[in-house]
Amino acid sequence: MISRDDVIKLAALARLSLPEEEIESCRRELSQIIDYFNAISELDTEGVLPLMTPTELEIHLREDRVQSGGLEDRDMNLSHTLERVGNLFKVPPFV
Amino acid sequence: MSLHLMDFFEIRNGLVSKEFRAREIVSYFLKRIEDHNDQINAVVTINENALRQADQLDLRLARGERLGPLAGVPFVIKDIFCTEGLRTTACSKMLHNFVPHYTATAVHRLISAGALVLGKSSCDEFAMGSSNETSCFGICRNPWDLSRVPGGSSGGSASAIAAGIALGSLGTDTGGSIRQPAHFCGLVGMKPTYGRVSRFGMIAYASSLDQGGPMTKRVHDSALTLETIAGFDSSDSTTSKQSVPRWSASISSDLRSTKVGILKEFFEDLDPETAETIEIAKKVLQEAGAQFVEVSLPLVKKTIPIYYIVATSEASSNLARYDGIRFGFRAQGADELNIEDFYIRNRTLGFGSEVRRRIMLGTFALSSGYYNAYYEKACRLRRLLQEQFRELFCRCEFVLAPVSPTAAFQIGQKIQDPLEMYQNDLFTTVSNLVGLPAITVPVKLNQYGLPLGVQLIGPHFEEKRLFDGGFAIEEKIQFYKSRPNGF
Repeated sequence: MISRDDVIKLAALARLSLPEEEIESCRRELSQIIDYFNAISELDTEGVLPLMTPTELEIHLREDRVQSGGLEDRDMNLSHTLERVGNLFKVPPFV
Repeated sequence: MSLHLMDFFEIRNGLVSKEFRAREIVSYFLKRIEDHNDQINAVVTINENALRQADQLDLRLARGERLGPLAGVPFVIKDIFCTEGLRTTACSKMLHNFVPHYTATAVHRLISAGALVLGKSSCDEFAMGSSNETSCFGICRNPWDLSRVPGGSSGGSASAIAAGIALGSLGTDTGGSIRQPAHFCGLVGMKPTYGRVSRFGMIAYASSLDQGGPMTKRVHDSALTLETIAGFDSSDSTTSKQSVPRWSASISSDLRSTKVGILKEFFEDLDPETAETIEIAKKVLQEAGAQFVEVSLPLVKKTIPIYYIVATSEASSNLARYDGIRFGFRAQGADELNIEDFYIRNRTLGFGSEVRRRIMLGTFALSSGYYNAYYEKACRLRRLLQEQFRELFCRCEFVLAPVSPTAAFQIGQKIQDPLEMYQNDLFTTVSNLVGLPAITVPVKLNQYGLPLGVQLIGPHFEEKRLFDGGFAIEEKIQFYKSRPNGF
């Protein structure tokens, strides 16, 4: 069971907003799903290492060297943004 | 000439023997899209360059060049794969205007083998869903019954092939998103071993679970497509360097000396129709020489919570990149806000409700105070599942299982209840958690004319066993001869 404050905190962490009238329904819904998740709490995992990815034994890192992949064009990479200033992304003020 | 009833070999053969040209193939299928897409809403973006690409293929043929194994085969690509110059949205408002500058490795390999891309197919938003009802392009319908869902998340891909407006598709499968729509639409859907197919250019949902793979009508076409797109890619460090066999050249329905596992826990409280489908498949496999062994894996009953904890955790992290600055949706008036509110406004209005729900759940499972009890615990259980499957596969070559609890359900039937929707993934999520290959093969139509299939799950990198088992079923049943009315 999670509280109203938990929901508000989660939304803030996830950078999402919840209108006042949706907080309670969201709390109920998340609580229901999290209760369902709790089914795993009783299972014994003592001494078992977490498995984060099925290919943990086979990860192929390449040398950290600049390669031409055809994606290094600055204009191309800036072209998806709605607002740019010269070669920079424009963002709202944050200081 | 009914091109939409042909298999890949017949298309390539007709092209090479100059029975028809690539331009005719594309024109034929674009016309079918024009005639039928309004009914099913499976294709969300048409490739305006498709005819030009067909002309290039015709030119190469005229010059006497040797064409690739998929020459002339018309595909739609799930709108989760980046395609250079062709809008790619993940069926989300967040990416409504996104036109990538590069093509996903799997799609690139498909095109290099001569495949023709007709357009992009609908899916659940960011591949999160089991019914294709969360797509920002609206509901996609199942050609076998237009009041029902095609499944999800690769529902548009499945619907398009079942309706004969494309012959193949690349889908992605994070918890059943290739196999369940294949089951709902009467198709072959292959989720390869994790690491077989590059994820480069595939918009991420849950990176340790996502895997691209083929959706087709025939097993042989599935094998041919997978061997074309699979293999190491230096742009995806999780792709395997294991050699990719030419499965299509060695498919065999001879299952003598094959032991098939029947996973006890999957057969408890089974819907009678689903149980009957399994019995039919069992009989066919037995006739092909297979023997059956009962196997047990108690933990398998807990896979839905394990899966949803892992998947939503990874999703909350992967989707943190969508902030409306470098690309994607930017809300009107957001520019007036401070940066925090700017992010919040863009994300809240850009993502749909199921995506927001999963981000919140994942944020919870990863947050301080809950990480150990949820995310880490789920990962420990994931290792236990992997170990138990390793032991299980010492006793059998593959496992025969249901795909989904029922046939296709009605549009709107489950969308209001997320937990009920999640139950749809009961039989599919375990392969993703462990990274195992699994295939859906169609078996029969139920009394309402809806397709039902079965699933075969194999050990890592043993896709051949699944193609062989699937082919044994296909050869006997020949489901591909069935077609939905009106298509």
